[in-house]
Amino acid sequence: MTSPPRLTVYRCPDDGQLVAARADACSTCGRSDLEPHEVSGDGFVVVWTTIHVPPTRYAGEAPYTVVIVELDCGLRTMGRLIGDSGRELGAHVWLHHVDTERGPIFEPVDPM
Amino acid sequence: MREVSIAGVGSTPFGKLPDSGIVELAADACRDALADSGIPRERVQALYLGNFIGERLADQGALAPVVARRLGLDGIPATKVEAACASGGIALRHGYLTVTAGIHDVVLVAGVEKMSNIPTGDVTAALATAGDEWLEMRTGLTFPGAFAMVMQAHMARYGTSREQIAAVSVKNHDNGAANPKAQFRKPTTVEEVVNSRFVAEPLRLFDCPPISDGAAAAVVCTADIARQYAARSVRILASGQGSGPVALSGMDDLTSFPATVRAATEAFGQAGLGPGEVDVAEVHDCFTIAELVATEDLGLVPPGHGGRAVEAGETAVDGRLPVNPSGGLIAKGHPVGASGVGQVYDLALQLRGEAANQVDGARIGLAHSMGGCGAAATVHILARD
Repeated sequence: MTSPPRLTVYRCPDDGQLVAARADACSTCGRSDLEPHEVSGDGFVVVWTTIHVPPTRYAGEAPYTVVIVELDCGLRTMGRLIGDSGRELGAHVWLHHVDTERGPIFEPVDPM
Repeated sequence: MREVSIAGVGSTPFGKLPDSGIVELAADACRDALADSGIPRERVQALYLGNFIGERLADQGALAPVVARRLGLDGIPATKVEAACASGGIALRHGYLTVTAGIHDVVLVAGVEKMSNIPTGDVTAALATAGDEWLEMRTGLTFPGAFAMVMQAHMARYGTSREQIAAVSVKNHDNGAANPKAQFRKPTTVEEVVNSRFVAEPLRLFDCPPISDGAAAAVVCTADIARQYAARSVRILASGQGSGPVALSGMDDLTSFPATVRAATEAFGQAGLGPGEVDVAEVHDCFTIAELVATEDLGLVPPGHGGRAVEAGETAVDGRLPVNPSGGLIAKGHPVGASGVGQVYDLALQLRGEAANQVDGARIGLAHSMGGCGAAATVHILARD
């Protein structure tokens, strides 16, 4: 089995605090020159929703599922979820890829 | 700090109003409020206008000066206030602040939105601009989707049931049925709510407010001027405002909005009152679950008890603490920039004893308006003058 892709987040050079977006400042010390940092794309589903009424730009894609994932590093991030089997609080998912428009795309980790 | 009153209020109906543009709607509500106050137009010194997405949905920027000129108030400072769905509530706060600080004596506050002539996908996209585009909305999340996540978190943490959440919609539809300004004038049932079509699973159509046009306005002035002109005025005892995370993934707890807690703490502190002294509340029920969370964050019920309270009838018009007797955003309608001022319109009528669903002996009213998924919130406490 090949290892899944990793996710780029941002890390405060002072205290190691991780944040999801480059535009954010460190939530602990306020420092803004954060450095890119790769973390595991593994995590669990905090909450999910399946969108049936989409915004115009994704009109042809509904229904699709969006999840908040708590990554193994403790940071929470949002992304799409492929398929139906991960639509469960606590479901184990990992990063499939990062889409240039839609951001992180996760998939359920097959329990088999 | 000076004592501040609302000398008059006005409102268009909320709903599909194809014959009125955004400027006409705002001007109509303002004229109503001025007539209700008895204060001559010439005494108005400033306009604060709440509006969220007029540039995008009605192709009109510089909206506050346009409305001021339409009212014959050309030349006064006219300011648009934008804080997503809290725009109207925060416009009221700015009017209140300038009067209590002694900068102005008479200020016109209004809120307006024009949405019903726009395709649903475009309205959904425009509303989604209140979220964090890079971190979240580009995934395809919508506002119903964001509150669907809050709904799941509340159900998982507190055991809140689907039927309890549906009871908010049933209560607010019952209330809207009697409100002549409301968009929905028909009762519904728990069965109808839980079988309506999905908008964003697990949230369904009857958990949502409609897409609405509408405007509301209030004349805010010193208590002395209100006594001089107005037949029936209400006092603004307190005004609080807070902000919180724009992104849901930045919230430690998806079942509570820190912006609401901060605004409520400030407002209750100013008023020298506690949640138990509120007789009637209009809270931001942008979705059924949002009303439950609001009642908890405002301290009207203990954390996690929102579902039980609505199911037991505590928040009905004849309950221990009536919440959204107007029908709320869900039944009255949600022209987003107008909603916060619309709440104050309804509360003023409650405190004057003139409301459609009159709460017996209402003396203290609370208005809570929230923008985004907890990005901004404001709380006003009003009293019978």
